[in-house]
Amino acid sequence: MIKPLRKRHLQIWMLLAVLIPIGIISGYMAVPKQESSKLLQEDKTVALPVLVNKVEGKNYSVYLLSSEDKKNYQLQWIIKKTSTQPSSLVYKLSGSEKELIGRVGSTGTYFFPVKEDSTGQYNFLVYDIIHRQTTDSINLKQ
Amino acid sequence: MSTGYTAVGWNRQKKLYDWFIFVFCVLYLTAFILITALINPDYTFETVLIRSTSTLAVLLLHVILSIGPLARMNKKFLPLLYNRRHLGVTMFCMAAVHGGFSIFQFHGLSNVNPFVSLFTSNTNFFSLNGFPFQLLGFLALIIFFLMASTSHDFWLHNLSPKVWKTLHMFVYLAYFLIVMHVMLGVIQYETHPVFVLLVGAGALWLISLHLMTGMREVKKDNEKFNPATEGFVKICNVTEIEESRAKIFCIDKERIAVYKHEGKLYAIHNVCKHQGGPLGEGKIVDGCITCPWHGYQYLPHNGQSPPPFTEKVSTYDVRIENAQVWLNPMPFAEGTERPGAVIN
Repeated sequence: MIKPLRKRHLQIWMLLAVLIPIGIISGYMAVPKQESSKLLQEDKTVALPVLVNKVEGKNYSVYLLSSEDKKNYQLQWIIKKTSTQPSSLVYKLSGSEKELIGRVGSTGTYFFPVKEDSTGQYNFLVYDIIHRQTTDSINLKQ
Repeated sequence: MSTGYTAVGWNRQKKLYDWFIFVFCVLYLTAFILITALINPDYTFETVLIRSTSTLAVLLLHVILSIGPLARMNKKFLPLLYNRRHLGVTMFCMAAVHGGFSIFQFHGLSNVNPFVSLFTSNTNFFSLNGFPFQLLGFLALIIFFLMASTSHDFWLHNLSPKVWKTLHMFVYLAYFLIVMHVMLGVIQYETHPVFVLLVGAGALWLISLHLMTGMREVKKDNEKFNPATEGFVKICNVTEIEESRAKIFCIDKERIAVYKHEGKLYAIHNVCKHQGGPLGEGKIVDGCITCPWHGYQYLPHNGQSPPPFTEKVSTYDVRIENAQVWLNPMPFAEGTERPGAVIN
């Protein structure tokens, strides 16, 4: 290497010695601090015993479950085949409002606690976070 | 060298090296997939392929960026430098598989062109945790592609060493883009601190290594010699140079290699015409000064590559007085024959 090239190498690494730590620290500080339980199911969730209603899709099955006393409700989401959306958010619709209840991704079974709806109508919306579009809606009656 | 091109100038060492790279990559990918299958049985093939190739590419990039400074610190690493381009092309292939599958999985299944989707699906340029990190990886992949596709000597000669070297120094920008691609991408949802520590440790290793060797080179460049007498500068004792080896001296602006060969001392410019390798760190093989980087050769008495090759470097006058070596840092034209200094 010629002298100017050696100098250039050193200057570049001096610059990287400043930029990379700033980048790593900034990236780490930007990690969302929300509770993971909000988005991910717990490992050992047990299905509630009463089947209220169900929808069978091509790639998935969705069951609305409840406890014997009908005080607690749960959504069981079984992905039988990976969809074209690698990761989607599931929202519960209540009138004009929507509440995030969880995320579904690869094949497997997902459980989400659901609040009792006085209308007896349980409507859900699936949102593809990569392409930023609604991909499905599911309506279940009590 | 310069008389013609073949795709790869295979020799036993290159074959062994490439087999080692191939076996290592296969073992790494297999181990990654098996461990993922054990830990997370619900994995999908696309996801595990994307993750295994990305981590392998990042690991190889760290090795590639370590080879240069390691070879400057210890000559035992020079064989790695000799074959670094093969490792670079392998790394690009792994990065291309990662990028290709990622674009297919995240952008290829909608009604929008995948590349349009890559650039338009996320425009949160002012948010750190929502930043379109895929673009950073894509830009790095373009740099790796340009480097891999121009890695052959054909391009080195046709682009000129200056342009080629400048292009290949973009690897440092690519490394920075990769660090940010990881930090603003996977680290935002795989939040276990061990992943951040791994990225940080890799960066710390590379930064320390490059700064340390860079400082050492600056120290060598700034070595002071006594003022010249009749144009000659006293540089060392004749016994300080080993037979068939050289010592390097930086006088004025450039480095000069002073070689000892068959009872004489010869001085030539230290920079190889091929990729700027340090000729003074090589040795004399079959009567020729041999560059430690890629084996380019020059005759000690005239700085010319032996026929049919045509590379030439500058030569210098050396003399010996009372076992002290004196060097005239004024270069002769490239390929000029000099008699050398006889060692009594």
